[in-house]
Amino acid sequence: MHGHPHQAGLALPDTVASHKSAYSGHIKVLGKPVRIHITRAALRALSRHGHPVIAEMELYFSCLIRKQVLFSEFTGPAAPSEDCTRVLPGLYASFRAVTTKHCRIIDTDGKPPVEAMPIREPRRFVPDWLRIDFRRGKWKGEYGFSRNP
Amino acid sequence: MNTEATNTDMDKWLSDKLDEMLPAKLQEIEDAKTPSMAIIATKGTLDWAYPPFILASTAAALGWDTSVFFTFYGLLLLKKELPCEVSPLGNPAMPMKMPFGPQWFQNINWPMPNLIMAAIPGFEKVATGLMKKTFKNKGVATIEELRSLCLEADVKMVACQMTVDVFGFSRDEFIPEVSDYVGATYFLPVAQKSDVCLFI
Repeated sequence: MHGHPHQAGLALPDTVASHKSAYSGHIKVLGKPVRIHITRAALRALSRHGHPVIAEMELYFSCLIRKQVLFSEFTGPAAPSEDCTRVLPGLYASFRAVTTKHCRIIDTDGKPPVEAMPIREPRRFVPDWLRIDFRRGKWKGEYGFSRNP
Repeated sequence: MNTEATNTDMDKWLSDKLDEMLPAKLQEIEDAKTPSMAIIATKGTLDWAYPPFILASTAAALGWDTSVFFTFYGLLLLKKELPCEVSPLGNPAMPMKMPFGPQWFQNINWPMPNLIMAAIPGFEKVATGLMKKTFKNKGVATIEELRSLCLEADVKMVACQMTVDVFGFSRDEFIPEVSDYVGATYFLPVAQKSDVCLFI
């Protein structure tokens, strides 16, 4: 794939992503279509990254409902778990709903004590769109539930 | 005499049997029942829009049957374009902090006299913008997103027809997903049967 702006579908060609332009497309997470946009800077960072990156869309149920995208590197020998959807070579996306007994908003940038939220139908809560960027040496992600990001 | 003794024995046997089996059976029925929640949403400002949508979406996420009755100012939460604003005037609980700048600046709670808040035109718009920015900084889902989540999770949203008439609204101003336009007489039985009923 060489920066084709609107590739859609699950089957992505197994080529190195071009970092000449941003990428927009669709993936499926837990069976639900998600529009994804990856900036040029993020594509550049991916091409330089040694290990696959997992962008986890976390929906945090508490006194307020918080959305955040958590980035981690996958260094294991096998592929990431089946819950992860491969977006591009070296990039995976997943969704997780969590809740916590403690409501410390100060922990939003840290790691609050979370546990999986027992959602009856997780697919309904998968976002409609995901945007991934790379700025000042850090991965930035944003997702939402409207049809037009 | 023998018949009486037999009836008494049978009654005792039945009573003992019921004592033995009934708690487990009732527990089984209770466990199989889907919990339900009914919310009556009566307010339409930005700060009051969050509780009904958060509670409804969380309950729906857990698999509860959830209904929300939007009445009075709460009806505004069903408009296609959500007009939610917040006013710090007469709202002394609202922290007046700036969602930008260095952390020490953001931690300052600015004392704002009511005279200023009332006299400056557009102050509510500013306060609304600042609150939205605060929530955005912390990654809190917007009202629009929470409403979408609720609809996605099959939360039943019911509007008060009387309020529509009184305030001169027309139905095409509201989202098409409103399941019904009803009165309190319809919703009270729903609230009565629900496991949790909240008035917001």
